[in-house]
Amino acid sequence: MESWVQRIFLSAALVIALPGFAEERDAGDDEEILEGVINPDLERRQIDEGKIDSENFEFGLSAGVMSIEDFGTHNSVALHMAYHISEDWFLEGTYGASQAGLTSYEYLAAQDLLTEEERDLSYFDMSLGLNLLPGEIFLGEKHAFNAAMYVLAGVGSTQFGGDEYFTANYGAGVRFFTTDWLALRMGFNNRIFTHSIFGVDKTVQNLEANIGLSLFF
Amino acid sequence: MDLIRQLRVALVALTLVFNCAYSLNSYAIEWNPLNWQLFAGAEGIDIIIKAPFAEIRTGPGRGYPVTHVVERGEKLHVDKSKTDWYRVHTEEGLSGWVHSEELTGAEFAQDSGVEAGKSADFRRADKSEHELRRWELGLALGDFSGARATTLGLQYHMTANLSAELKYTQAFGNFSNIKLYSLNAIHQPFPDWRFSPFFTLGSGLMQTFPNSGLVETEDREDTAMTVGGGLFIYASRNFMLRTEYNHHTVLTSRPENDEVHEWKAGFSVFF
Repeated sequence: MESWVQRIFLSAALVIALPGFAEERDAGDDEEILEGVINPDLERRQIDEGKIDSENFEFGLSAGVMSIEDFGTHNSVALHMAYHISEDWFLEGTYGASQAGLTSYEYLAAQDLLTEEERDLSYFDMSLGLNLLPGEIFLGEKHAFNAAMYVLAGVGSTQFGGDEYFTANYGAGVRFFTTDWLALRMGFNNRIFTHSIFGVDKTVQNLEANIGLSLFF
Repeated sequence: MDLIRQLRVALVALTLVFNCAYSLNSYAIEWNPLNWQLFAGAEGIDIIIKAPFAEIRTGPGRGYPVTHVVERGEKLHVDKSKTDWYRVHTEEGLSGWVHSEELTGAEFAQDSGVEAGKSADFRRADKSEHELRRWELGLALGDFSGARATTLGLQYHMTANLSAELKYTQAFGNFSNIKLYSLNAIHQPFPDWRFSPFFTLGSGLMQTFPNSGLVETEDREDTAMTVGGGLFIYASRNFMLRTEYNHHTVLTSRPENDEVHEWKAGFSVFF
């Protein structure tokens, strides 16, 4: 008896529900069509970035000489980290270190102005660089390297003589690309800061020349 | 004094947590971890050129010579990119660099792992992408309570509206130098505007180093609380300009706290 009642209700429900289902499906189709019409090809980037290796970062090591005004010229080393924003522009952070010698006064008077520790010079700066004159450079008859010059300018700080100084820097250099990811770099920089080691404020220009290697990754 | 200090720290922490939770809920966008590869060669993709022709150069720059030209319909294997340039290999085994503009409209080749015939989009970064930026590296120069100051900042965008920023500020005064390491939360109510205002709230450690030539005073280390605001200006590509004002309250060990006003302007790149 109960199953009869159930059957009646079920078939009634089916009869009522079927057109409903049909209608729903229609609505679904319409939506799909509408969506196709309304939404043009609004697709996100199709490239799986992981499949293409981007090499916009550069890591470099260099060594050379740095002339610290009044304190002589000594060896220097530097680490470079750059991000290439575009073909022309790059942002570079540099950390470097050198050591100061004796001033003429210290030689003549045999009196030390700074302690050994205070003679260590280190700097950190961030610069904006611009690549200039890209082209090929020929080595003999058979070899050609891609190369580009660059100029850069920035600000940072220099630790020297027991204090830290606000430092402006500018420079120029050239990169020779031996392969797509390895470059030989040569650079010249001037770092300018004001110290008062001699009792009065003095703005000094410290020139540095270095040569090194850069990896792109 | 100590209790008030702790309460303020707690208040700032709570505000940050709430802001973060609220923002994550309401503006969550798809999360995409930074995807880069160190030195490892990438497998690359195969594409079919759809532009009338594409010039292949020896290096990723307009100054490098064109060694050959590929025509529409030719298949190229792309495995590397450097700024706007892509390194390609032709079926004959030649390789070189092609500018992204010449790859516009290129389609994926058969058996490239992606649906063949679908167009591969080699667009350069533009404004639509700046709203989805993840990492931002910035440099700013300004005035720190009368001293010259430089700031280096790394910002991570958690949502379109909310980001966290780690900042290192160095100020060079007449009598002392200051180093400020801080962690800030940045909220941008209208991230899609070209001139987008933001508010920032943060906390950090401020170290003060009196100049060695002056009176013998000791180095100090204090907590600093920061509120501020400013403007992000989308310039072009992945380049942004930024100007901001920060008010730092330095919680000193003396009876009075120091108030520091900082103005600065700078730029940042996102990737």
